[in-house]
Amino acid sequence: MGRKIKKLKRLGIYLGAIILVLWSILPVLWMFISSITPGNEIIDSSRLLPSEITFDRYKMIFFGQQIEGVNRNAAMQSAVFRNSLRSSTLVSIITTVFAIAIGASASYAFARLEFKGRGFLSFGALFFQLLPPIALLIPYYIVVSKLGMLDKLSTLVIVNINFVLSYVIWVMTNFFKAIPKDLENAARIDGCTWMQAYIWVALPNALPGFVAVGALAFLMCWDEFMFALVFAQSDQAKMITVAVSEFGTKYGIDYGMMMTAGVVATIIPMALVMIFQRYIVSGLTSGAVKE
Amino acid sequence: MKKWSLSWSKEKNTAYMMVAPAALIIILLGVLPILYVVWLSLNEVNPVTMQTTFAGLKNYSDTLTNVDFWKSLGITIYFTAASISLQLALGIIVAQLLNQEFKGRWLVRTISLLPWTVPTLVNANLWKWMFNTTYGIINKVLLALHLTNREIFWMGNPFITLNSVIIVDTWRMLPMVVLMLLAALQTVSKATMEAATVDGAGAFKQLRHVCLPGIKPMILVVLVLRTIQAFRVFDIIFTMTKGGPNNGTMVISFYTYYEIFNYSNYGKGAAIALIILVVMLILSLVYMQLLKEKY
Repeated sequence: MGRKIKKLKRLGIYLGAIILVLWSILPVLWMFISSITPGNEIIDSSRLLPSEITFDRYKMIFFGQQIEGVNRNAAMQSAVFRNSLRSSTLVSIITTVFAIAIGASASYAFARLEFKGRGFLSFGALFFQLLPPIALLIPYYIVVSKLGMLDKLSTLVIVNINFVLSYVIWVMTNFFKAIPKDLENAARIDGCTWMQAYIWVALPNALPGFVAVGALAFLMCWDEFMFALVFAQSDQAKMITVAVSEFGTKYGIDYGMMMTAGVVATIIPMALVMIFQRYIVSGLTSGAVKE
Repeated sequence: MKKWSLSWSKEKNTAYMMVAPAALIIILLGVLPILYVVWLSLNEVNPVTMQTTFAGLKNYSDTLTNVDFWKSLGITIYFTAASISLQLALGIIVAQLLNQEFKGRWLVRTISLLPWTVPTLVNANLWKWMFNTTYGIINKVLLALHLTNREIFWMGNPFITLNSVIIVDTWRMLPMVVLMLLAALQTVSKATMEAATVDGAGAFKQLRHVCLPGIKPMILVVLVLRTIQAFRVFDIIFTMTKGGPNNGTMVISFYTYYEIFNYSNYGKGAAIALIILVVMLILSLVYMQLLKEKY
């Protein structure tokens, strides 16, 4: 009886695991299959799977190689997409680096040092996590267009940094709190200033935390859409979240190219998550569990 | 020089130095803009000259008496509540599954992360393609399996569309919920679980009395995070439905966006944005109270 139940449980677990794997993998797989399906077969409603595969769309999207059966705007749209790939990478990296450089020292002060207004300031940082971006869109838009700063990468960095920074502070404060105090106290007794204790003792110890926060902050920027849509509209300045949808002609969407762009846009975040998987879990949860 | 090093060693001064850059950014890019939004919401703004005329609470009363606003708020609340309940329910089941020991578990865990690595916009495009009426794989498979005898218009009926969008959101966000719940489950000690089994608690009882109380704080955290995210949903809607059909997916962020960029109604847009902010604040205060009460 007991063994039978155990066997049933095993079966249930494997069944659940299989369903989970299929659910997670099939849409991604379909994106890839669509990207390598020949143009005439992708709009064939009677066909489930392609009869042959082609990597022409990847040649188009990376090298602008004109090919048969693809919409005639594709070369231009691919160029815009390549540009956006660079812009998004730049903006995401710069924003992340700035947010961490500025956020880490603030987090350390919040976690360790006593000073007037600490509670108020750390609550303020948290509060900006709550702000819906749409609330900031109006003032940002008015100021940015008045200053003639539309379509500039630096503008994207500036409008993104607020959210990323408050996220960084939120999580890093908890990371610093989790580091044993003894190490810094020892350093202080040896005559270090707080600043030196921060730089030489706390920072190296918080390194795993930086990896986690850095990866997640990068993903936040890479994924940002509303500001990208409003502040980077010219072909030269477009961000990847905008450029990825812009394949087709006035007669219709070119889903084949759009899926190809989707695969390309997914590669970087996917690689980041897979490489830093262990750290990312702590980046997601450490802001939350321990207090 | 000496004075400098002296002041550096003082805790308070160091603290202010360390916080100053972040505080400056938050004031410049957060506090001041929000004050500006408050001011705009009390004004009629000319979209061309940007000249403001004081209008008192007119933008607020206009918004609060507008049927479309309430409809949009209702849709947003439905979207938030439905997607979060779905994600929490599935999240608990999947986290429970991944907490069991079985061969190949690490592989299943890694694969289950996959959807979360797909950028939101790509996710929206991908599902829009899969939901496509004539060429979409979902209809093709349903037809091939004879589960339906004609194509389903996934994006044609407000109710079906809204729920399809919820599925799309769930597909991408579930791994995040699972990750967080799993991390909490792993802190519920094995010994407690085994003791419960020995005492004759079945799987359900074990879940109800041992697991759930153990991960309750994390459930609340997930609730807060996901509420904040779901309530501001914009990108999926913009890409998949543009608020349609028949305004059936006109969530509040998109409604505000329309007010700002299609009607150039900055004052009213500001008022709506602030109303959303207040709703979010109240919600998070309630959650935080809950969180505090229990722990």
